[in-house]
Amino acid sequence: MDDAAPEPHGVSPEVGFNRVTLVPGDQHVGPSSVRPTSSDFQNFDDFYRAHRADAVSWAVALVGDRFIAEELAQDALAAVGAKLHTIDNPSGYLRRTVVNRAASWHRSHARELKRIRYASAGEPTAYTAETTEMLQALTSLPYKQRAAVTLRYWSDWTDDQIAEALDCAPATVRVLLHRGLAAVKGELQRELDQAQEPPR
Amino acid sequence: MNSPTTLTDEAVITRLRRALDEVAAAATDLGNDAPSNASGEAGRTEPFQVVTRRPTGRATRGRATTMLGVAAACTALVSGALVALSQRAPSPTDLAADPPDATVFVPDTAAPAASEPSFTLAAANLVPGEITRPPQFPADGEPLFQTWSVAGDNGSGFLFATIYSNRPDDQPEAAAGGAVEEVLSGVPDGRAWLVTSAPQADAPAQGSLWWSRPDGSVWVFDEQGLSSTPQLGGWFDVVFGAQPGSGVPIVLPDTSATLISVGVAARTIVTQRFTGASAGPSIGTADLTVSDGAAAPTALIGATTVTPVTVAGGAGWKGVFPDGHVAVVWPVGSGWWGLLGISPELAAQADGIITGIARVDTAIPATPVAPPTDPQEYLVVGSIVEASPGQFVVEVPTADESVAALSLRGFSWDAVPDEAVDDVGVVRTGPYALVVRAYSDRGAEFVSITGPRVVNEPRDPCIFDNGPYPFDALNDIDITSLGVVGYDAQLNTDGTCDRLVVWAYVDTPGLRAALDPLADQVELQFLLTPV
Repeated sequence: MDDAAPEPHGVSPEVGFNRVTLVPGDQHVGPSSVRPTSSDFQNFDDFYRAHRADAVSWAVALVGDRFIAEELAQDALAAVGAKLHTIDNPSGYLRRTVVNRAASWHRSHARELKRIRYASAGEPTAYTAETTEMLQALTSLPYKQRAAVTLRYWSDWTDDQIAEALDCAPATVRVLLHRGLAAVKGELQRELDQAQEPPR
Repeated sequence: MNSPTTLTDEAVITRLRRALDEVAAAATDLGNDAPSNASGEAGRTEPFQVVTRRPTGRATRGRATTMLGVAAACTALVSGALVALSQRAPSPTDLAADPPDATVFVPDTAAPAASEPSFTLAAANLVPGEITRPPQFPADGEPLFQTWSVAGDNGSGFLFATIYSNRPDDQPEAAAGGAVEEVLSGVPDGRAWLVTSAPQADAPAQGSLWWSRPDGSVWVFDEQGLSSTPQLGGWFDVVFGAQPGSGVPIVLPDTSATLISVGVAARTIVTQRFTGASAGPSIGTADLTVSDGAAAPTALIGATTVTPVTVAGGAGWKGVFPDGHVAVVWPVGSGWWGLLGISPELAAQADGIITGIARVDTAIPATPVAPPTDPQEYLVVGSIVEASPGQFVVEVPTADESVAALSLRGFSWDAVPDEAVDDVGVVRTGPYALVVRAYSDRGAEFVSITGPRVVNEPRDPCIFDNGPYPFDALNDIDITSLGVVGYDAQLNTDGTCDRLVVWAYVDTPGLRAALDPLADQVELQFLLTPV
């Protein structure tokens, strides 16, 4: 991939984080974590600014929708930010968080799509035909294959980074890449073959 | 017969990259992809191009430093960065292209159409006025607008671009008291001029950068916060590094720039004026506007300071101007923007007024909020120590932190254990302001709305992460716009949830109405925040 990262578009202003914010909790009622000090807020602010564009682009790769990607990335950044002072590798943790959030989204995306129907009402209904085909092909993949393919070939993650995020061995990543790419190619090839069929 | 084409891995990867590039480049706020209008016409979906249309109203946009309230915000919406155009004598071509008189405001007391976003303002001392909907006249030669927020080495602020097509050699002229100076270095191609407005008593001169490009287009840039005195080496470097984009009109080289709007000027502007209720000659106004124009952020041009704020549960910006007035801009989604213009007389109350904004065009109609007769009676700073349905008692200061809990079946209060207080994030030292509006059985009662410190992020993900939950009705609610901070659920071992707690920052009628059908399942809680 061209290493020019996707431009951070979108209506997600660089809001300051000097505020009390609820963060995801475990299995109990009520919020469960806290960003307690102003110095942490400042750290989080720096972290947010440094990683937001990356997080959004990774999420785009994983869900294929800019708007949803913005939301997922925002959630992931907030979740990581809440633990910023307790984790050693925030970037790696963020990668894993984005991948996990995207996995959750894929599991429940039908419901989620319905929920955000309003928010995305003004977006274009279609990309170019080629892009639409590619997005459909990616949708047909199991999530881990999709994640491996897009993160490797678009986000330029290493096999080790993908393995860590997907919680599997690097060798497994290579299998996922092989199968995922083959599946995408198969889908696109079918489209291509149909397009090339002479009219009857 | 052609031999069948066989895709290679390389070709697939190339297509993958191209596709995701396209998705990533899609701006969230597609102002050019106009949202459906009131009559339900589909929005345009053509890609961004520099279009050739007649200019929208030739309204002279004064510097933002002189803007007051929504009238000024609307001017910015209609004319956007037309400041540069307004700073030169109109050419015969311009005169011929003038649209019908767009300054005739036709009062329309009807509520906004269902397809438009709509907000209400519940503030103690503001009296709502009529709703106006001035006609807009899309015209040939209409510019495109792009706005970025920038946080980088060149400062933090905003960059505003106005893009005109087919205006070769369109050299600007200075307005009275202003100046035009050609920029002789750093211009990669074409010609550029710095157009400076006349300095005013309470505001320094501001500069717009005109860049006449070899392709016949003119890009006009304004900034806020990037440089108090525009000069080479500052934001000019960013501007002169700009390139025509394929998905958007202009691509900036600065990775710290975030695109926040792109598109044409407004097709719809709906404004409601709220007037200060106190007696006296200077009662002040607050103009609440929704618009589908991408020029909305230009209302921040000329602001001395711009700070992030939370508006109706979403993020926005508050600009404070040298003359004392306040402009608030926030993206509503789908190309719509909200604006609030607060006159200097009410500027001191701006934070409270902003917090009183609530979105009302939800799936379930909201009930208008009646302003309280005496807001001071209910203004509280401290902690709740006792509560009963319809009322609560607050001591100031107190060492006991609490979280107010408002169930849909009646107001109640729960003391929260210390460890839960830690979890909630209530800082252990007071004082606190209760930043909710509470409603008794007798109707709305204003309590306090003081400076938001919590926004609607992050939403709690548990109901996303743990499979099915029995609250599908929430899927139909634009819950974020209702002021919800997050939600959490009591999880069962099988991943289902059987109880949901919705954390709200500000209670709104819309939120309560939306959740009311779930009253036996959903508990609505509100937050205390330090002041």
